[in-house]
Amino acid sequence: MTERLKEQLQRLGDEAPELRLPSDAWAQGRRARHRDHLLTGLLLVVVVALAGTLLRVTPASRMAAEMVAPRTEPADGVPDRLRPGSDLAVAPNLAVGVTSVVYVDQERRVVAVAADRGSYRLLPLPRGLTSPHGGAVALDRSGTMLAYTWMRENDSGGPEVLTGFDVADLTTGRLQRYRLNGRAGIDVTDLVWSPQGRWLAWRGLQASRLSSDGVGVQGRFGREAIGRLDLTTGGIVQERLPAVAARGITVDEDGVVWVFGSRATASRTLPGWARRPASPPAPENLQESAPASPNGRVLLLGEGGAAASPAMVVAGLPGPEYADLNPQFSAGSRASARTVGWIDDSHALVQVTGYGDREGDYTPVESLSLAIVDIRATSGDTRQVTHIDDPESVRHLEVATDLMTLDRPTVSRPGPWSFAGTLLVAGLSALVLALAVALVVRRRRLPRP
Amino acid sequence: MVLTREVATTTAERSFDEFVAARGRALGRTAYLLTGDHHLAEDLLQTALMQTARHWERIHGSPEAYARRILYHQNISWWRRKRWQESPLLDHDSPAPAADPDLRVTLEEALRRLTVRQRTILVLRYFEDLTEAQTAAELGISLGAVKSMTRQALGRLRTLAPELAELIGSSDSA
Repeated sequence: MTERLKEQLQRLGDEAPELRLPSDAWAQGRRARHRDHLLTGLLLVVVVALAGTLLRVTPASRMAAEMVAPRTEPADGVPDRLRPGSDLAVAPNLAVGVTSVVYVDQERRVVAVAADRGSYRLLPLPRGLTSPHGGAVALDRSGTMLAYTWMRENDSGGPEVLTGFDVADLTTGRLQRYRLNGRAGIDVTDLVWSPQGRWLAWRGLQASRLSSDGVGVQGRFGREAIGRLDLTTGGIVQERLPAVAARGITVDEDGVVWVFGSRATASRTLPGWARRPASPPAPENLQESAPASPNGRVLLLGEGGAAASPAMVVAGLPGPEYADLNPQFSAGSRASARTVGWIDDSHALVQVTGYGDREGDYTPVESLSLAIVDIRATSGDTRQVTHIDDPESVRHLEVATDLMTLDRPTVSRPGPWSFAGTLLVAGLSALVLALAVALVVRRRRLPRP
Repeated sequence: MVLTREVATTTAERSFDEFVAARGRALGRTAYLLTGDHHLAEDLLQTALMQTARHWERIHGSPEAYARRILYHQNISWWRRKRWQESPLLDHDSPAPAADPDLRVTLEEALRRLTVRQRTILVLRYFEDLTEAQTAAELGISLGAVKSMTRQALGRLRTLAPELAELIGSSDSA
């Protein structure tokens, strides 16, 4: 019976109104084809870009990349902009590779910036006990050796608190631990590398008693002590300082530890006094310890200040020459300068801190930057090379100056990838994947040619 | 290289134009039966030919078979998108308006009141003269689904247009 239905349908078809045949079907099809190719290419590019980004930011991949043997290729460098972040991944060990910058953040965590990629990693340093004077961290000029102080409870009898410092090889992760004995211990406040990294000098306060509440250390402190480690032998010497108001120390490549204060500059070749040159009184407000120039003959000391551009003093080693510099920094109404390292014998890298107006006991830090100062010019020609975002979050800054040259002091680097940033990239990846799947599903609905 | 591609494009375009000239009208008839509407049929034909042109170089078999498959699938796809516009089933199940002396018009009217899937199944089975297995393959559905949808479509035609009973036959003969 359905034969009649077939006949009727055939008749319906035969008598159907004439349809207008499209004249531009070919052109439309070609345009759609070009769009297909373009879309496929774009998707490929986006997928490759996202995959690359993910590989770059995935902690595991960064870890793998940074576990590779150390290298100092031309690509290594100090970032032109430092972006401290709070949400950083912790490195699995101390073998993080050549490091361009190390800084201590507000929470006293130590952050390493990789020289090759500019990635930011928290260093897994033993937390230990909080030092009454804050402790110290020092990166050598090659960016491969890191020294940091520690304090920890003593579980095996004897003093309640043990003090000392570690020296870590950041290329291998190998750690050398040095315990400091000085009555109840020494709270090290300054660590300084010699120009070529053979010597590490420290300054600290001798404690007559140290006790711990499980988090921090309280103590009674007496005279200052200085010491010096010979990295080639592991030998340590230390001695008490006479009652001088020492402001800082430095160490030259002969292992001579220099102590400078507000009233005089003295030198000591440990152990024992070697010479005590007659030197004019050093200016007031000298800031912290500072590394000596590569030839170990010059020291640049910054003055903490009430002026917009802090004065600086070039001191000859072994003195007694002094020269005043008046570098011009753009750092607000008040600024201080601290020598971080040296590019060569004539150019120092200086950390410039600009302060805001005092608010009670608190003085806000308004700006933080790194500048190169030419010590041959009395005007102290300066050039800002690195800007630090969020200056309040950086307590202390160390730079591998071997990675800097006058021609190429810094390199451009991306900011740290926070957890939120990684999530964003992952989300974008998921979105692109969903779009790709939707596109494929839509196309599969149409029959295959 | 560019010249070679241009020559290839020209050749392909010419063969596509020949295909449209030769088979366009037949495709148009199927499009009309599938949609039951002149304008919709033109749109459907346009889409099918555009998709055929889009994949012209990749079509290894008959371009007409490919274009027809596009017609079937695209029509159902449109129906899916516009499903919310369809009237409730109950409205369609009432008998067609007073018996029309012209059987063709009555059949056309009744076909229009079927769902797109049902109409497509009937067009494939009784206009394109495909077997149940071929229909299942064309639409990418199971043989059982084709059988049950054919049964439903014919049953609905009987409900919508009782005067077509002779044309359609009893449910047993379907």
